[in-house]
Amino acid sequence: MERKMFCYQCQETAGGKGCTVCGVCGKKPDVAAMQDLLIYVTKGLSCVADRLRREGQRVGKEVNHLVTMNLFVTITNANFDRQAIIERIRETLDVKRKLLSQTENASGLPHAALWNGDVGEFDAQAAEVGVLATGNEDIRSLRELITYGLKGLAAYSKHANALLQDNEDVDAFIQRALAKTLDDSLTVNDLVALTLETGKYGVDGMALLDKANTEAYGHPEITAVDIGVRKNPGILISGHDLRDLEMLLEQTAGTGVDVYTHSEMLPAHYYPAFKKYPHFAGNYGNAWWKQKEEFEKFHGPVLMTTNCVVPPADSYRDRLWTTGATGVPGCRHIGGAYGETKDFSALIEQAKKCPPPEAIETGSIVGGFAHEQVFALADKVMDAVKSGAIRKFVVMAGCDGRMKSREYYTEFARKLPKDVVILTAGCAKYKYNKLDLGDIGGIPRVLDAGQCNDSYSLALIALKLKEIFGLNDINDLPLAFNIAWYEQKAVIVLLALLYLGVKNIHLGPTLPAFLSPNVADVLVKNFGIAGIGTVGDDLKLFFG
Amino acid sequence: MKYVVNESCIGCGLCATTCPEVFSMTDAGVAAAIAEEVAEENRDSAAEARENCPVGAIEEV
Repeated sequence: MERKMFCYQCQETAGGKGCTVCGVCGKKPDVAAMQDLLIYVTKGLSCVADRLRREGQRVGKEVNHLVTMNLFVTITNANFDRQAIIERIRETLDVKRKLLSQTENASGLPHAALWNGDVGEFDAQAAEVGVLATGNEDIRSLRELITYGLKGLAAYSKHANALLQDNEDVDAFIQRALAKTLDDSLTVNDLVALTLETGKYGVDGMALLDKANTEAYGHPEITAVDIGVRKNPGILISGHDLRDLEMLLEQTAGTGVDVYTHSEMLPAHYYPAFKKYPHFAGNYGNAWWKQKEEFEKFHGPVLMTTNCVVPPADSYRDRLWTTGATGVPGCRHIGGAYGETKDFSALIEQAKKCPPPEAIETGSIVGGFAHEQVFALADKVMDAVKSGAIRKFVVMAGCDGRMKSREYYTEFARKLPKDVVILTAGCAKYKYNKLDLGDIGGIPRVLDAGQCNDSYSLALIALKLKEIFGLNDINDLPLAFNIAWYEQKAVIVLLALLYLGVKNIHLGPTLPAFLSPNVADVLVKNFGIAGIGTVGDDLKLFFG
Repeated sequence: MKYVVNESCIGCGLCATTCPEVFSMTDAGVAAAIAEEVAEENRDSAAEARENCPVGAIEEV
């Protein structure tokens, strides 16, 4: 079959090898091409910014924010709008030209840093600069592993930026690392070292976002979230951006419109600051991949603040709104810079004319087990471990997805020994968070810390347990890692865990297609990374 | 055993890669299944294509 594109950044990539006709995500080849070019020009901009820093010159926050937003736009299921991506390429080239004129010495900069083209040349240039432009499969594998990790890190930085928090070191690293992915003098060993360094900054990026979220909205606390519906019209907010949610809650107050969370926005309910809104109704639906069916039944407007967007059916296209890094052709986009208040009035007016949502579930789910909440329960947890009531914890954080092979995680959770507790974050939880797995002495068997970035909380909890039990090595804890991945935020979470010294992480439902056999071998030999097997075999492996 | 590809198809090409004897891409950019019975020797790969379709667009009829 003729190759029209090449993308293998997500877990669902066609045949476990690469999407070449159309993205399994729904991305068409013309959009994939502009994403390839956006990455290329962003790397070019990063080379110039990195050069300026080396010359002792200051690089403005607006450049950092442009880089992180560009990377975010190319994350799986974020943006399908070719025209919007073209505009970002133009803006990036404009900014780069200005920075280039400020350099004292531009010699030695790569082609990406020097290339300028107008829109008529974009497709031809895109065809030259995609993933396959790197011939050596190990170098390509590491470059992509690093780039995808940086995309995840950029997404977390962007959320912190929206709350007016920045970490210049993280931004400078993102740009330095992007520049290095174009450096042909770097060896496999150099790039392996850069991969691990990316994990270090992944920890810093997640710490920044944790600080931004908790300073703005308080520390998550144990919360039962209603999964049914009320009688008012509603707005469904999806994605990860808590600042967008805050603005929406403020603007819908007193309008008679309720606000429901979807998928990765569920953990917003755990934050004290959002509990003051009586119209913050609950969580509707499940993980991202079920949205076509569920958005149909919601009846009201849906606001996508980040990935994961599935290209909508025509029946609800006029009710799907995008903001931030997201975009879908034919859907309305709400703009707004950091620090500005976005105007959601048109969306709210639409909601008032819509019927209330149709119930698809009833009951509630419990979460809010982020680091401070779990630390508050530390004595109880320690007693349960010491008495043997809790034998082991298993981290099952990560992403959910469409593949039937992910039913493994439901079965695995259901068949876990009754003295094992699941620690989770991200939308992977939807595979088992409605199973009613019970509790151990009042400690629920599924402890949900929050969104995927709240895997940081799980790392802090693990470090705290290590301290409490007086252990020298995090790997000596009664703790297993069985992580599900789908998109690039999971890549930065994985690299962060590796940086923290966690070994023997099991990653599924399949290992990334972008890992070449040699790179996979490095991860297996140095970190004990493995895939998943059958539920029975893995239960035996983890719990004897 | 026969298959049809319904309107959920997003044209990713996975089925045509997995089992080209049964599935192919049309000029409209979506997948289609052959109208005939699936031959014995292709049943496993056709079933695999159906199983792995990311949007569940392949139905057995």
